[in-house]
Amino acid sequence: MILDIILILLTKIPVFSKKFIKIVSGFLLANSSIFIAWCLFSQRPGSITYFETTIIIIKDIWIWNILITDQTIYYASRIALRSLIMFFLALMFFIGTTDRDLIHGLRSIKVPFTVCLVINLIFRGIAMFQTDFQIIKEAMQTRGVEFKRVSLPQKIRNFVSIFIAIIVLMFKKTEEMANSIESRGIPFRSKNRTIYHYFPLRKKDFAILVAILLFLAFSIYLRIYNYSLVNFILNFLSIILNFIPITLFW
Amino acid sequence: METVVEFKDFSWKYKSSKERVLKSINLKIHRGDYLGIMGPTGAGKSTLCACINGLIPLKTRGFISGSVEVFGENTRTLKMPEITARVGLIFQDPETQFIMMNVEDEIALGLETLGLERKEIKNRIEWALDIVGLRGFELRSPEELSGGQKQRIAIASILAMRPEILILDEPTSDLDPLSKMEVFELLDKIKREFELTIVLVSHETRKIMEFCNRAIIIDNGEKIYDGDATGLLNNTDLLKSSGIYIPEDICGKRIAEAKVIVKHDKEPIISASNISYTYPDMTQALEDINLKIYQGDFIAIIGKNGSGKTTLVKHFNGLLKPQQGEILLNNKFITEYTIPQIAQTVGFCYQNPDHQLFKGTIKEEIEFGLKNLRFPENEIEKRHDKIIELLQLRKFEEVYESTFYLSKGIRQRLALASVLVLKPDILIVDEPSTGQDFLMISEFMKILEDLNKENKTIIIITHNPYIIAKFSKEVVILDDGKLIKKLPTEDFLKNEELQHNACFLPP
Repeated sequence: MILDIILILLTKIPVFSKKFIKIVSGFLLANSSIFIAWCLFSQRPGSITYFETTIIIIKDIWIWNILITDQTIYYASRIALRSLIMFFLALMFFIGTTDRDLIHGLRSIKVPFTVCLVINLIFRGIAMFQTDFQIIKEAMQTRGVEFKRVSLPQKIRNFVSIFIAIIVLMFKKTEEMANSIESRGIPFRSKNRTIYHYFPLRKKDFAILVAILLFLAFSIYLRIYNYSLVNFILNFLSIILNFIPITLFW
Repeated sequence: METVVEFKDFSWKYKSSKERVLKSINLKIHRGDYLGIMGPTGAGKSTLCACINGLIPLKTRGFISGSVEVFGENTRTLKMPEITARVGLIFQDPETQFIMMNVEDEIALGLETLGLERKEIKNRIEWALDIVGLRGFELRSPEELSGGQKQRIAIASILAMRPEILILDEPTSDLDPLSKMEVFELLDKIKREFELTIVLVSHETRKIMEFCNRAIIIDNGEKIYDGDATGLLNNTDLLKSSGIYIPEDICGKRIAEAKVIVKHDKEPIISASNISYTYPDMTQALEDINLKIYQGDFIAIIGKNGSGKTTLVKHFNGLLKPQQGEILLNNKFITEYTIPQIAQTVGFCYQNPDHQLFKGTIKEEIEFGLKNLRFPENEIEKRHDKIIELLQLRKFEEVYESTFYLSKGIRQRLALASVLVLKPDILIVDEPSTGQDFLMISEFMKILEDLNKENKTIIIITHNPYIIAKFSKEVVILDDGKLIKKLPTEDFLKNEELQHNACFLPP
């Protein structure tokens, strides 16, 4: 988690920009709701009970108790922390990598060109889709269609109309793009294709890969023997502490 | 002279088309030719281009007779990359030609296919960008480029492959006249420097006469003229029958007529004061614009690509809210109107009708706006019939089930109908001439002119000098988001300095 934040700071993005703060605070809000939900709905008995009450009882079918013990808090924070770490990891990936870095990288580790081209076209397609979507939405507004302040079924109907127009556009555009690709003479199996942006894997990359794999193996090991990280560290420390007198004795 | 491309009694029919698109074409293109191809929309010009570069018949389904030989070999016996290494094809729409995520990769794409070394690719990218004058744009993404720049990148990415034949399929239809001129001059320079063979499809009669040494006219799949480009003018009947623009001195005529019009004594229908607008990425699109538009005006808003024309008119129908300043529509703040109210006051026609048509059939499309606003059934019927008559769409409604199969010109007319049916007083039209032939443009403009005679206010954004000189009553010149001047068209046509400012070249 801390490592994560350091890495994000390393990417040199404007951390205090409005957008960034908006995204992070939005997620923290969502994350705290996860925490609260776990507290409210997971009824884990624990050694210390902080709070207990019954909210709804539907005869023999379902009983909603709120039971907050030390165990609930422990599990809820575990879940919340887990998603928090995943969020920051994903955030780091998206901030630090542009879509073209991804494609250059994929090509450099010899992923087939076709696959890279398809991924690239997906990104390109998304960009086109967004602009087209916006224009069509505006075009509908100029014909008196409201998107705010209308009932849900009407809203759905409006969006269906947008998609009809988008599908027509996409048909035309994909055909034109296909022609354009063919006209550059891009065969899907080419032996003597060269790579302009070539980033081969260096020692550093391998080192990081190995470190990640070791860490993965380590966490699997912990999982199998049902250790928690904290227990493990404590055990590890106690072993070392036991050893210290021995070494001193020697 | 060496023949590089030869059509031998060539015919082609797409799998989906009813008739043959090309009919027994015999054509020889020699090395060093600068061939201009003209003809109305749907005549088969693009199909002809695709035949030279092998897309037809190698990648398209259809029926063929006769043959096309490129460098003495039948295209049917070749493979696509073998042809494309020597024949480059540039399309009309710069947007869909841009495949990669930035300029550098875009140009490198074709070069990698040729199997060039990394250093050579780098050299060629720099060389190609130098030629099109976009050095330093290597890392830009397509969203950061204007239409003209994208088109030049498309040319660069093909040029970098060093083809011997360069085919351009209406490469300038999205550009302002000055950028157009730049592209033509660029082609001229490349041609002289590298002794390329160029095949150019264009609607611009004057440009073809100026730059090409040979011209052919294709109409309805048949070659009806083949000869000197300058000889086109001796065949005015032929040009007229295939709906091609015959160059004439419209500006001189217009100035000579010098009808004094435009009296503004009433209240303005749109009044914009001190409008400024900045996009989220901090580019200032509009700066302190003051403009009054009156009932019955016919205004052309002109200026080079990216000068803020579309941004300005989007303020007139409430799509954008002014960040500074205010807009009065019929003496009422535009922010006080609801979306349906604006739709019945200001109509907006988009450049690409594909963005505006979202129903299956013509009838549904026209009635959509009315139904949405809950008009009574008989009123809808009445307005529908009237608009169909006005825009002569009846015959298409009977023949075509789906709007998808209509040609672009008709789709555009349908888009206009769907807007007009709401009876707006003001009609804004964004660049109606893209990818249309002369005949369609004049038909479309005729409709607008008639509407204007019925005292409707027309605001049109266009690069097309013909439309400006022939139809507009007044012009509004924008440059870099600033309003340079609003003045009657006659005065504008006399003032060369302003014309230069607005990137205007006489038709």
